[in-house]
Amino acid sequence: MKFQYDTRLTSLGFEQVPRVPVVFTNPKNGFAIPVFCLVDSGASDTLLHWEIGKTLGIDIEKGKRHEYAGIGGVVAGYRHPIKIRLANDTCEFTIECAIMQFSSFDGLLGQRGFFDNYKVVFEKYKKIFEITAKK
Amino acid sequence: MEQDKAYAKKLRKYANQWVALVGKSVVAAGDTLQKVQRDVEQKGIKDYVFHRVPPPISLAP
Repeated sequence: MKFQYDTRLTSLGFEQVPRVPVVFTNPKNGFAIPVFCLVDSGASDTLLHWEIGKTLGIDIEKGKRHEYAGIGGVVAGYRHPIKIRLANDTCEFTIECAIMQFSSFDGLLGQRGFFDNYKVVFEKYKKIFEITAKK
Repeated sequence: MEQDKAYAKKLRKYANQWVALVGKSVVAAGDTLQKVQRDVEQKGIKDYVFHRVPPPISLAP
């Protein structure tokens, strides 16, 4: 599936970022939520905001605790199995997502979980990127 | 491209909030995801996606 880069405005001007709608489903209760996530090849894991975990009905702190380092410091995340699929796609994978308290992001689609299951081709010079589920 | 810029300018007003988007339209917004979810369900809106609008600074996760 091909997607257009999303445009955002920062103090440096307009930026294009690769965001894609992904449906997250809690396999334990079937609660599902669509989130406009950032495809982030630099993130080691797939990370979700705390409120997404709550909305999915996950008992967040019962997950396996793991610490993540970023430029902003170290943040603890709690890992849980969650189903993911691209909106408007039928292909679904169950992956481990880390749920954490961070303010600037809703969801980051990182190497573990997302890039393990999808081929991603960035063509920023064309303002498009393509995501294909593994076979 | 001009449409994309207008959308980005509009979205900037919602920095640090949760929004529900249908295409490039904000159909609900609020401080918590739960509130925004309630709003879209009460309005009977379909095909939305939730987004936490980042602050208007460059991101370095």
